Amino acid sequence: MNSTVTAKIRTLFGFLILIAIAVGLGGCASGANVTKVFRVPKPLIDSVPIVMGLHISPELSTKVYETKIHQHGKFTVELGESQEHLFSQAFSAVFSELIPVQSLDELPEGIEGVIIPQIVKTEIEIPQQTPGDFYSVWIRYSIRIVSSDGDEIIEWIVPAYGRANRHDFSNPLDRPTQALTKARDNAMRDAVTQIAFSFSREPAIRDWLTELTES
Amino acid sequence: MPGCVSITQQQVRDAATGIESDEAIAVLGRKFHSRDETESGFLDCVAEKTSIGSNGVRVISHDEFVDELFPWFEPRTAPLDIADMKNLFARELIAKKLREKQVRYIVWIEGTTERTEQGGTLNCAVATGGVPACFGFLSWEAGSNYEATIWDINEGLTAGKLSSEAKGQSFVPAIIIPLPFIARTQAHACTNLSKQLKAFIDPE
Repeated sequence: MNSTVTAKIRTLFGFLILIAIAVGLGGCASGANVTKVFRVPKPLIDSVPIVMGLHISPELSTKVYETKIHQHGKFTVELGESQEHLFSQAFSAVFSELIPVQSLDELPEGIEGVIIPQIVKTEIEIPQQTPGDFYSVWIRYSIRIVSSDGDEIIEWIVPAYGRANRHDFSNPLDRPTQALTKARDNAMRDAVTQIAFSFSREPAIRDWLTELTES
Repeated sequence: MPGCVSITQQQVRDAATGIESDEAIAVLGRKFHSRDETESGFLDCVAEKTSIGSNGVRVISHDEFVDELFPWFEPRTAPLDIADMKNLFARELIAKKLREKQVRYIVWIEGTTERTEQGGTLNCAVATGGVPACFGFLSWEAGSNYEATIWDINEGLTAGKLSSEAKGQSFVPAIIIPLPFIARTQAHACTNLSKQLKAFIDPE
């Protein structure tokens, strides 16, 4: 056997071993770093003919979730950068007009109230912690609605959940980040879904909106 | 190298079907928050294979459809039966969007691929002289079970159901070099279900 053939065989063996190592590494994931910005379509719903303000606090717009999972590394999930888009898309469908509010001390003219969202709790789960194949993300939102007079109408809690099947991501080395990104996006999408579907049906909000539209 | 795969298919027709050249079908996966869901790769495969060939039909993918009709086809809001769908269709915004996209049929795919009866071991190491080598034997059985439910949007009824079940045994013997014989059950189930779907929707 000449030296060229031997070298080729060695290269092939080396390649097979690398595949075995890559698959092995996939089995013991070393954390994830979710940074991609989330995008969602504007909900296809009828809007209420009311002008509202939206205040995104610096605390919300800079929110990052970090946790360490024993034997699986550090998991970082960027949340803040996407919140303005999320709430703008959701509430610009619910209301006929949505105006950004920079400061709660100085409200723009013509708005009936202000929407003030916050993230109160975030949790993640990876498949190694469960019997299933899913990466899961829970984001618990608190959405305060304050009238233009400063009266609090309601504090509405939105428990959003999203998950992603690890088998949908083929690259074992990048799988935790890709799957967790998808799970986070699905959780945020779930938040928009709940706002679009249930916001106007909450009794306190429904009564307030009825009062406004009838006056 | 491919392993052997056996396929079982079933079809139940509840109504006559047909499709115009400008009409489309939407291939959607059932998503739940509390149980297994169909793999995205399988949905993409069915969408692609149903849209090609001599009797291919225009297909709108799951992601495109759920974005266009957001948030009406999300895990917590999607219609569970044709009666729910009719209620949804009664909303003008949704009916208008479906007309715009020229959606004639919605095809709901359910099912998964699962491995069972895994056995054996395979070890790789670097032998004398720096040459890597593997020894051992791995085997597993995979089953891909999928079902498609077809809703006729124009008529407001369930046109029928199709199923495709593929089973196969995969094995990897290794004496220095691993030789994988993989039974690609999911790919076979996809090809079979897509063929059935095209023939079901446009029998002529």
